[in-house]
Amino acid sequence: MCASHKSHKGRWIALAALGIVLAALLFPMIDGLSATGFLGDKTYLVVLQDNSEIRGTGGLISVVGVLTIHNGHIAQVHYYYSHTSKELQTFVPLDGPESFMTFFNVDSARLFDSNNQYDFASFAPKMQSDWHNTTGQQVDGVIGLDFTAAQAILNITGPITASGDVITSRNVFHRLEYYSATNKGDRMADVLSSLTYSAFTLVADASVPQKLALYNTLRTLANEKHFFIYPEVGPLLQNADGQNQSRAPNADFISVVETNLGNGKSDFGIGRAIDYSVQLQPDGSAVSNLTLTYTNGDWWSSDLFAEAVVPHGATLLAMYNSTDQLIGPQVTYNENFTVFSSRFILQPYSTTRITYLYTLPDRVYENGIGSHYDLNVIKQGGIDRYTLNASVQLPAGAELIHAENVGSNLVFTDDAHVSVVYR
Amino acid sequence: MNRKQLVVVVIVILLIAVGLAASMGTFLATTPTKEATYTAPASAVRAPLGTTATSDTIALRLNGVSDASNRATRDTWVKFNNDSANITYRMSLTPPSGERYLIANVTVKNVKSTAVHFSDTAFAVLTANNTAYYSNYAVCNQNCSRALENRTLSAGFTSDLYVLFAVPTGTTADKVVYTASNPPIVMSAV
Repeated sequence: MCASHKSHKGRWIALAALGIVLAALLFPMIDGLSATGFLGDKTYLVVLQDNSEIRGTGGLISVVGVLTIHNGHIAQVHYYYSHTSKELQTFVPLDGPESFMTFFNVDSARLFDSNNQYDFASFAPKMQSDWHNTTGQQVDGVIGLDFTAAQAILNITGPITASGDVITSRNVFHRLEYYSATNKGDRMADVLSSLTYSAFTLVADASVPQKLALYNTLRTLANEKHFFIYPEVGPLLQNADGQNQSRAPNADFISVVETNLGNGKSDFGIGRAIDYSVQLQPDGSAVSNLTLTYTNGDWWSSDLFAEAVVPHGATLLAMYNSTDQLIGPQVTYNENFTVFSSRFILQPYSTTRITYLYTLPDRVYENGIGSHYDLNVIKQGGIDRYTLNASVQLPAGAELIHAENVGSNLVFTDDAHVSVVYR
Repeated sequence: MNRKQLVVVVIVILLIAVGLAASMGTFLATTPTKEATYTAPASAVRAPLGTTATSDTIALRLNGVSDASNRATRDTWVKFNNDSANITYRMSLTPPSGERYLIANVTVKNVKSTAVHFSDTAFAVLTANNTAYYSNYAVCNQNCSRALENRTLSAGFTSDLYVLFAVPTGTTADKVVYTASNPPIVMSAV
């Protein structure tokens, strides 16, 4: 091949590479412009979840807003309070999860109380459709945020004034808790409305570093499941939420999904730990010992319902608990997972432990390096942090090559991945 | 541009990009919390710890400020919160990492012969450099809690309040200010 042909080929390759880079930059930008109403108005449901009263998707739904965005600015916003809005008081059918519906023998709930799914990604499309069925209003997406998100956004925007009160990142959590507990929906809506305007003003008028700080905060909140956007906006703001993670084949997983059954705003006074000890068998199966530990630092008792979602095929061998105030376990199955559910009371200033002993088929896979065991611990939306104590016992005679996140007292604010390679 | 020059340009661009990313990362990682500030006007009524200051509608006395982990303070808080007419809200006294809870014990009195407006949300702890931490929640005995709820003090009303403030760990209260009276009341906490 002559030099000129080589040069032409090089140019075409360079041009193609440039095209790929530009496309990679432009697609998210178009996605972002579309989401912010530059390519036609966009209307979103904004769902404020009270994560001190935990629910499957992140917290009790306190306020729902309908927000219309035009060219990156708020065109209209209206908030509905859960306990007074006839729209949110409407009963809607539940579509699962089976573990919840069977345990409580329910098949419907009021719209504001229908977020019993295991994650926001499962809840959002149903909320979108239920809202449409209830109000006749079509929305383009659902944005979820909890009190932790409100706190973090106020860190960036600075204090706001709502209903005559100064609301800061230091007091917003308790103010919202109080408004939620005492049915002061108008004040809660005022806070959320002021916060929405303040955040949009920041996006429009702030300096580049402030904008970046807000973007970084939203990304962190999304990763830690305090802020959700459905459908997701390009690769820039994606929620983990257990939906988009690449999984190792046959990876083991634990997803603990809790529901506070109405004993107040207790969940930030409760310490949570997951102790997981797995014994790998020579045939690739496993014997698992999962202990959920709850330490109640509050001065009142708490009533919790906990669903431990584990891989399909798990067989419960035994259950132990340190409290006699427990109902369960209930075991439910489907083609994707097995769920062990229990309801129990956490006494003030005390610790409660629940242990599930179960077997799992086919948890180890082979590749050229050796045998692999992977565990994904999926954090529930709204939960602040948890401690993971993970131990992996290899089959007799096996030699450890690599271990990641195996050990005690590992504190996570997002999902955790445990990995072990051996031969 | 020859190959050598191209390599130099690429290296320079990479160095600039890495430098920018590093400084941006440092900036984002250290973005400080935007705290509120409050500067009391010259007309503010000032009072030392343990003495009463009177404004247009109310008189206030700061009896002390203590950490929520203090046993006696916590026990009183729990008693007040339990006695409260509004028991639907119990506030956890476990602060998140990086924060501590300060509780101010304040005596409040209506100095008018008619009902007056009063809001516990108008209290703030001030540090020596005027950073203001506005109140999170307040509790008081059964008779008083309804007044707090309604934000109205009846004629002759007097009671002790426990007002809670979330502040960064290591922060101490220099003053407690009530911002909603005319003029505001500034009480020394030390």
